[in-house]
Amino acid sequence: MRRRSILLVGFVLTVSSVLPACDDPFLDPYVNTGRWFTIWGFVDASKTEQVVRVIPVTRTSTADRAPSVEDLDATVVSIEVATGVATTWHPTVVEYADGSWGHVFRTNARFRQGYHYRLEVRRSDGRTAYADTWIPVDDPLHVVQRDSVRFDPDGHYRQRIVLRGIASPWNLRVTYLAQSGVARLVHEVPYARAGRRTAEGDWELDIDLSADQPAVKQHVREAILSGEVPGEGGLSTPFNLHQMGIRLTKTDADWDLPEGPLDPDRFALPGAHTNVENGYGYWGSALPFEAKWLVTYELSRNLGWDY
Amino acid sequence: MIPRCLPPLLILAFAVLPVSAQEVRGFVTEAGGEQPLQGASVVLLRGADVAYGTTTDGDGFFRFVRVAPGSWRLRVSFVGFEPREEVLELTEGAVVSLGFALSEAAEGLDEVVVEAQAASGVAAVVAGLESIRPRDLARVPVPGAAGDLAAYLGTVPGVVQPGDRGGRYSIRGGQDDQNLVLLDGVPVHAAFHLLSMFSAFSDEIVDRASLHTAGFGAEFGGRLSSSLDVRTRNGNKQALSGSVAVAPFVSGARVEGPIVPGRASFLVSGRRSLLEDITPRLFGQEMPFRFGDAFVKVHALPARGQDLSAFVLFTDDTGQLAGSSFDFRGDPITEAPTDSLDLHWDNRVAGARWSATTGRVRTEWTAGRSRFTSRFGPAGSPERTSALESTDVEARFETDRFGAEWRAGASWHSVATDWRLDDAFRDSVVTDGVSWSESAAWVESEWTIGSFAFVPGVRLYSPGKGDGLFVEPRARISGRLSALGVSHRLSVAAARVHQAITGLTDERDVGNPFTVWTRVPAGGTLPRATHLVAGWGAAFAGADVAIEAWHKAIDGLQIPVFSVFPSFTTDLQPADGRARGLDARLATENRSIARGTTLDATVSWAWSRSEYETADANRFPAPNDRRHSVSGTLIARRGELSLTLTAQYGTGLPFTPSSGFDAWILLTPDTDVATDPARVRVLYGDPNSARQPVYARFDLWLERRVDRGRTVATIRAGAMNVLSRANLFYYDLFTYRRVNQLPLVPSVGIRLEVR
Repeated sequence: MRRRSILLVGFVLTVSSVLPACDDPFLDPYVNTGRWFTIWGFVDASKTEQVVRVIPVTRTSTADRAPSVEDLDATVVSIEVATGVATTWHPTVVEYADGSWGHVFRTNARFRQGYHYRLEVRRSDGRTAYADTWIPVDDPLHVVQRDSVRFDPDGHYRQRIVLRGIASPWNLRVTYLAQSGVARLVHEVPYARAGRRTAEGDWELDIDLSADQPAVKQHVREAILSGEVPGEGGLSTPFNLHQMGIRLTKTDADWDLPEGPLDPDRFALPGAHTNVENGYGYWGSALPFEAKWLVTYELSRNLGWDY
Repeated sequence: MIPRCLPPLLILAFAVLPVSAQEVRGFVTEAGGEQPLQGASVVLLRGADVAYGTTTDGDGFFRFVRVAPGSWRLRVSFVGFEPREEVLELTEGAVVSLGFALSEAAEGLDEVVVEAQAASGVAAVVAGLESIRPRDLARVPVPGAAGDLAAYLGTVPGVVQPGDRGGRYSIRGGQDDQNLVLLDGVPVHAAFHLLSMFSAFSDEIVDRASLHTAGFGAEFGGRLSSSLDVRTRNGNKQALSGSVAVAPFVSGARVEGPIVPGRASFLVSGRRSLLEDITPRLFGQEMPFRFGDAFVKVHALPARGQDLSAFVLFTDDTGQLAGSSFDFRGDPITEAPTDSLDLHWDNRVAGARWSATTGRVRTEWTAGRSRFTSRFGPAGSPERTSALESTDVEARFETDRFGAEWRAGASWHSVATDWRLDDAFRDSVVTDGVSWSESAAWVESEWTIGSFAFVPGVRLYSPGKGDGLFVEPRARISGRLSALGVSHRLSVAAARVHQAITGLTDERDVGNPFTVWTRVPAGGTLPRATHLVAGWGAAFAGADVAIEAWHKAIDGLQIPVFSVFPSFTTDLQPADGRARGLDARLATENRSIARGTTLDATVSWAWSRSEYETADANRFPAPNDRRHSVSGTLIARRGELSLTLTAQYGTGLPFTPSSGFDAWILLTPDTDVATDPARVRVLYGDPNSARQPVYARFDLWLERRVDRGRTVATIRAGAMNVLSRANLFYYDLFTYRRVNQLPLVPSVGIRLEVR
């Protein structure tokens, strides 16, 4: 009995002594994942100056520090992949309205539609983060009016259109051109990202013509009163709806922003929205597009426009 | 949906059901102090044969029902007390009420009754239920000269404490906010002190406690994981008595005595830590912790069969988490932190209880109010504050009907929370709060078939805010079976529980107990847990063995969103939790290891696995997922001397690692990165994908107890963390500031008790 007791005590003491010795109490919660920079920006092929923000991935937050250009060990170069032509971007430091600081690189280089570009952010030790983009091509926008204008039970005229070959449009705006003789006025109704992606990879949108008209007509009235457009008959000057159109920003194929409201807590998760190798963030490209079509006499009348 | 009228109908039915025949019942108390004796052995003998046998419950209450008319002898015995015997003549339909006040035996240990021993310790473990008596607390020494319930809980397998600091604990897969703690029936929202081995429940005030780690009965609800039901001592109704204890960790005093001799008593107990003042001078260590508690109770016996008590409890904890801190390399940080790490919380609890036995029904009413406040940051301008206030009213009934024991009750629970969070990174302040009322009704019965007890029950829970009514079935079966020459203790329990309240902690702070209390959104899925636990126990060669396996499925949890922005978020995301585990305990007592020297030993091991799965199918370990833990207590006694070694080992808890910082922009074709600012972003790794280091601690205590009749002196000297291991307490993932658990801390304490 006593022997067993002594064995038990010995066992407990041994286990208790050995177990903690097996593990080091040191803890470093920082895990370097081999990502060196975060890159935010895009090429807007309709503009002459391009900008990109570069943020170093650091062990501790550096948001409250006022940096100088030299603080960032990074060189930013864009390369036209087909030709190998490289352009070095110019570093600047920007103070934002909220008091924070950032490293912004700029260039006036020309980015050609349809071409493949790579942006490299390189540290002096050679560690490089990079991202690729294909600049959208300014092809004629192919808009299909899938159905004729319909009159819905709620008393609204609606028209469904399909944007062929555009899977993820941004900043959709429907334009209405009102006309009276030589006087013309274009009103833009924002549609943000209304609509949905089709199984074929196109974008489908329902335009609520009836809902849009009060704003268009109000715009016409204000334009007449301010003299922006000539209206010899004053507010009774007959205007008709002559043309409709759609404007949008087309992004590169990889810049596929999710539909619906963008939830920062999910969208900002590292890896949720990135095309940067060895880093985080996104570098893409965008180009504005527009398409127009004529409005029939009958539709213009039905929408309450005068002739 | 269950009709809302069902709970009152159940209670009404309970009151009018037909009753059984002859009954013998009574209370067993300790002579002089009127303390109920739980686990006293009570037997009814006819001639020399034992016809009926039972043990007293936590109130010292026993009952025999359906006893045949005739002549009986009733014998009451309890370890360490003189047995009592009484002759009864039971007539048809008689109900006999008795009271026994047992006196301490001169040679107490000779009168050991097996049933009495089974009232606590490993031998008392019944699937998911741990019965705790003050003598259990005394087995786990704490710095000082008294015991504490918190220190004992740290040795219970399945109870996960983050270490020797923190004031939080998780039980069998549940989180800290899923534990219900009741003091005489009134919730205490933060019952544990900043140093985890101390709680509001010292052995000076605890009469008994029941820890339900899984599969708890219908009486308890509103929390998903566990319930700790602490009942306090009544003051001495015969004479003035008390104690004084002085030690660097905690010093305190207790006074109790009669208000009206034999009928009413008071008990006053208070403790205060002296660490902050003493340790820098004595040991050259900064120990910026200050905590204390005060408890006052008045107890009265207004009439035969009636019991009335009222109490107040105050606790407060203040700590500077920074203490001695280290950077990620382990080097000491000498410069003052730019942000304050002051943590403070306090409890204000008041409650009253009245119980009476009328006819065959025992009724108990409890009412109480409990307020908890907490703040984190500089005392004058804390960065975060949080408060939780509740009001509780509960009625409980007991009787016997249809050949079974029946218990039922109803409760109403009003809760109000508020919080204020400064967001240093976004320069904003979030202030919010929520209030609601909950109600519940429950009934359970206990049927004895052979050597097994079957306890089915059901609880109806209404969490308020229009979230409907939930049915929570409960069941427990326990008993003994003899096989292979050994008496096997078998038990199994199952329960379904719902919880509306939830406590949020910050992902940023590994180890920081600051909690924001809120309610899960109304109209959504209410978190629900399903428990299943099975246990086996037996005695072999003088040692008790207990093994339990358990499973908890927790659905519809609301856990904090893993925000990449460095700020405390109260945003929630749905998740399901799955936890399972196995634990084993081995205990032996009074084992002779040398002439005049005995040994008590308890060793426990627990394995568990606890995971969350979010709605987007992301599965990761829960924050309390400690896979293995081992604890052991060895007590060698020789005369008035005892030497105690306690060891605790736990594999590392999970945390979410960081891959550094960058900044984030919602980049759309409308964004101008030259003018639109970015938000600081922390690059978290996969949730809880990394592990903290192992926690391990040894304590060694030498104690001498000098018993001189009415006066007892106890001197305890020793040290905590004798290996001075650098266990992790707190880690700020943003600043890489690390604070360790307690280093090697010697302590000497003395306690004088007048009985």
